[in-house]
Amino acid sequence: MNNNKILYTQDLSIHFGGLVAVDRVNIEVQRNTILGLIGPNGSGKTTIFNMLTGLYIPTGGNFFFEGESLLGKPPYEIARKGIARTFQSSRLCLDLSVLDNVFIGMHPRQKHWLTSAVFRRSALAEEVYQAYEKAMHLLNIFNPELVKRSSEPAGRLPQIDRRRVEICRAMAMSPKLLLLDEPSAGMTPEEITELMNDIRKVQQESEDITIIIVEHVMSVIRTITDHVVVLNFGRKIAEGTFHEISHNPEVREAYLGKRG
Amino acid sequence: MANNQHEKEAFRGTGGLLLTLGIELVLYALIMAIFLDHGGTTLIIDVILAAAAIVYFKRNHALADKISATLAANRKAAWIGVIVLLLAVPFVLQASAYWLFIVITAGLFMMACLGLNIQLGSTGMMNLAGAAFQAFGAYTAGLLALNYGLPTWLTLLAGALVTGLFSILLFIPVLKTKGHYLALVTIAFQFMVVILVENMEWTGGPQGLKNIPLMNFFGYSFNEPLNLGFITLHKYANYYYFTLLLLFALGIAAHRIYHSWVGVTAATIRDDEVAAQTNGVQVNKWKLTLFVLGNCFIGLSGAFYSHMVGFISPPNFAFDKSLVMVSIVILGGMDNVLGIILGAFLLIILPEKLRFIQDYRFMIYGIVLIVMLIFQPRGLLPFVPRSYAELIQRYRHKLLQGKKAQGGQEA
Ligand SMILES: Nc1ncnc2c1ncn2[C@@H]1O[C@H](COP(=O)(O)OP(=O)(O)O)[C@@H](O)[C@H]1O
Ligand SMILES: [Mg+2]
Repeated sequence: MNNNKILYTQDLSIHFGGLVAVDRVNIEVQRNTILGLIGPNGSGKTTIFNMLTGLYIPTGGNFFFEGESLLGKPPYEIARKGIARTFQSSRLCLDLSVLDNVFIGMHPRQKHWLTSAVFRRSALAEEVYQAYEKAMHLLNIFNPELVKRSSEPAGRLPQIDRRRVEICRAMAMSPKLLLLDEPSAGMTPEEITELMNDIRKVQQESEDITIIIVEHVMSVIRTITDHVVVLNFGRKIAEGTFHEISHNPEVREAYLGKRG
Repeated sequence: MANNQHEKEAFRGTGGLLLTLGIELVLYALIMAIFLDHGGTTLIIDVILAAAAIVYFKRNHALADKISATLAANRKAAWIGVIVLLLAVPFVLQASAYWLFIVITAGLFMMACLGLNIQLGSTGMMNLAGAAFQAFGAYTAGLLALNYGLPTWLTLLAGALVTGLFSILLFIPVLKTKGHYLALVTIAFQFMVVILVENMEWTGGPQGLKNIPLMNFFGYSFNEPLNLGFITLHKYANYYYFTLLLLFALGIAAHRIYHSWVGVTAATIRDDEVAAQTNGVQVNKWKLTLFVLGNCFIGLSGAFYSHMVGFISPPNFAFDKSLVMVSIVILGGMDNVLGIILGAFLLIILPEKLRFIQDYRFMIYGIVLIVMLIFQPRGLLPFVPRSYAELIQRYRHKLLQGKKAQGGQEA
């Protein structure tokens, strides 16, 4: 049973000066499921992602990935353990080619560096070839058009394709846990439908992948998540299936209070 | 696929080949004429021609594309042409050793800037202490040769490596600061180094080091005229050919680094450190590696200088030289190896011809930089997308051959 929890947090907390952004949050994520993380703006969702990826150091509590505490580990080490993410406001390198953006996701696995680059080109060639095939395969899953445009700067792509490339970059790491921060931000309803298909493709593509998704669009949460955690003012106020939490009065109040 | 495109759009066959070599020859003649002309008329004519060509090709994209496709299709011939023409420079400048010396100086700037480009252009680390790092290389080589009589190849190597090692000193502040602050830290370092060198006894103080042995490789002295049998070239020809050799080697190394995972990693660090980290990049490790590597190039150019001129003193490594290096990288094109060549040509060789503006030299650099940063922050040359075609082609070729070999065995 325990083995099925890929990630759990223990009273995870962080404050910025006097502001308690995340307050003793306990989350459990079962392996190979999709967890939805929702809550009004400013409720601490992105901050939790930042702690899970090592960008912020929690001021209290702990978190465990595959049974091991990753508290205080630097971001690169956490990434190498198998946690990949996308960002709420896209963090692609817009001047670099689509391909380069995907390649950086394979960084931890690459073996041929300076000496190979200069002196042993044939050793590097094999690695580049394999990386290229993998990148093209990933891009093709999301949108065949991306394969054609793979050597263009990422900045020339429309918004939805940029998100896709960012997800490809994360998938290029072959992560065990994928954190998606509001992937549908700024998309039209049709694009959101496409995006949901994309996320399903991600799941099918990999045998062992767990996803945590932060999302405002409830249709996405309803359709793809197995379990939902609701935050408000940095605290977990409810969790359960989408059906359960959507009938929870406290959740309704949190949302209506904000939106109404 | 890329090749087919060239064939479609390029001038084909012998015509294309002649066009390629013709363009090279005309450009070469126009440039060499600048040196040979005692006045400035040729330079003015060249500038007018260049401006006219730029305006013309901006309007005639089709022709410009066709010509660049032709050059790409005849790449091998183009390179052979370039090499032959470069080898001929000492012959052309036989009568003006002074200009040969200037060309070598520009070559040394290119060498340093190839290194600076790895730091600033590729990784986004501002380094305004280039001249200080050149001083490390120059003094290391000079002192080793003067005090211990070490051979040139060893002092050059030591100059490069010691500079790389010393740059670790500056690295802790480099890690802790970014952007403008980093620029300030490197400026402070630059001044510290010059003041130290000026005030220490074993570096020769303000007088510097004199009588540094000139280059000598296994008994062959660079201080003698270069006798080729049918012609005797000025002794600077030795230095020129050696610079050319080093530049080719370092240029190819830099080019290969750019088109590799190292290039991708550096560019990601430059554009978005957070993205790099969350993709598993050890940002500090790479910054250190590339900072040290870049400074090795810079140190080598300093060591070369001390063995060419035989005399070094603190003013040779003043702040203005660091500024010139940064200007070359910004003008030529950040993260662009060929851009460095162009930048050094424009900022080192041209001003030498424009003696009458000597006093305003730095003012003009300043204006050029400001204009560039506003209108063309990526440099004069267009951005080159990293290409993996060559490597992939190479591997596919190997795969095919492997299959053929297997097929042969089975049959
Ligand atoms: N680096 C920071 N410094 C100060 N306050 C921060 C920082 N990061 C997040 N916060 C604050 O933490 C709270 C939660 O933010 P965030 O996690 O971005 O919310 P959201 O749920 O919309 O993603 C907000 O009040 C935000 O202002
Ligand atoms: Mg957020």
